[in-house]
Amino acid sequence: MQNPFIIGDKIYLRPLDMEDVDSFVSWLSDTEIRKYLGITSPMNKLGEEKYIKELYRDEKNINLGIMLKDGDEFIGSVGLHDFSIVHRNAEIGIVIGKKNYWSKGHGTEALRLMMGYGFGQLNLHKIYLRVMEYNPRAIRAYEKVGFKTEAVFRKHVYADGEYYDDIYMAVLKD
Amino acid sequence: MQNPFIIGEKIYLRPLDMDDVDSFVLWLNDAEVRQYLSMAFPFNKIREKEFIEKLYKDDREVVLGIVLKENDKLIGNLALHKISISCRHAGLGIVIGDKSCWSKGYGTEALNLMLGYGFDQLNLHRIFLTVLSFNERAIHTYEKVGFRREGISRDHIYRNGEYHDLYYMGILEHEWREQNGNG
Repeated sequence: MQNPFIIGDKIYLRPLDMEDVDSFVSWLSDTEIRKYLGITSPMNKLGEEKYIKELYRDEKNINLGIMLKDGDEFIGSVGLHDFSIVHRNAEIGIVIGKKNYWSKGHGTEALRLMMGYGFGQLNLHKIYLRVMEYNPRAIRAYEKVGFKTEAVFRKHVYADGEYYDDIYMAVLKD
Repeated sequence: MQNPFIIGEKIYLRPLDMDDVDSFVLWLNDAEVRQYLSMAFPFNKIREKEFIEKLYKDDREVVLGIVLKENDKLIGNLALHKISISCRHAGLGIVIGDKSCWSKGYGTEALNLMLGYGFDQLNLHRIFLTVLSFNERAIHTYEKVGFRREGISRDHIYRNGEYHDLYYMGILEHEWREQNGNG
């Protein structure tokens, strides 16, 4: 394992570094991945380098690489963003960029590890997220680890010529 | 030995350099190591390089690597931080990142070397530190080299699902000299 920060069963999470720029640019350029993430503008290496350079500088955002223990393969990332010190909440975001690893349970495990870290080490009270209605696989994974739908923003996002609902889900510490 | 700055019996202390980045990134992300440190956040090579680039530019910070004499292996670091010129005090921090080297007395020796450097070379009057209440091995080591428990910040640190006390410990110049027989 390379610099494991949190170790799971089949995966581990490690800090992101400059070498990861190329993977992110390729993942975030992919039409299908972009659609699920709700990304509408392009991201190049320059922009991604800038992002990685600033990581871990302030203690308001965390993003960790998802690595397969078997073979040390970098397959995605999971992050906690916009910590509110007063409200003790944060938004969780995840991407499995290597599509051949979709539906293998790695995302679920990464979510569980990150939630454990958020509640157990960062002392968060609530973790929330946004997911598009056309991403049922993600919704199922979120439900499996304990997220509940709190709100539906009707026809909030525009993708492929149509409007879709944007779903807000959250989980409380207890 | 590579660039020994202070030489002990089983270990020596040397300046840190860019080649040390990888070791630190590995250690400081390790859950077992990091639970004892004040930081709970990830640390990548960029942040660590930034840290090493800034080293030794400010003479109020002394950070040295702890190296085994027998094989020149870097096993951790220790530092005097925020040296106050007027108060002649400094904060001390230490980490043995290589877990296979825990409980072998290397930390104790490194602390003794650094205390000697602080009091005899830097002319400090007081060296202090903070330690998490559940880090009993460290507390025992600090007491062994002469630190006394001075105060407690109750429930100061959140770690592993609960709040923990933070202890303040300190050692004064005359205590160091008395215990080392040159007072």
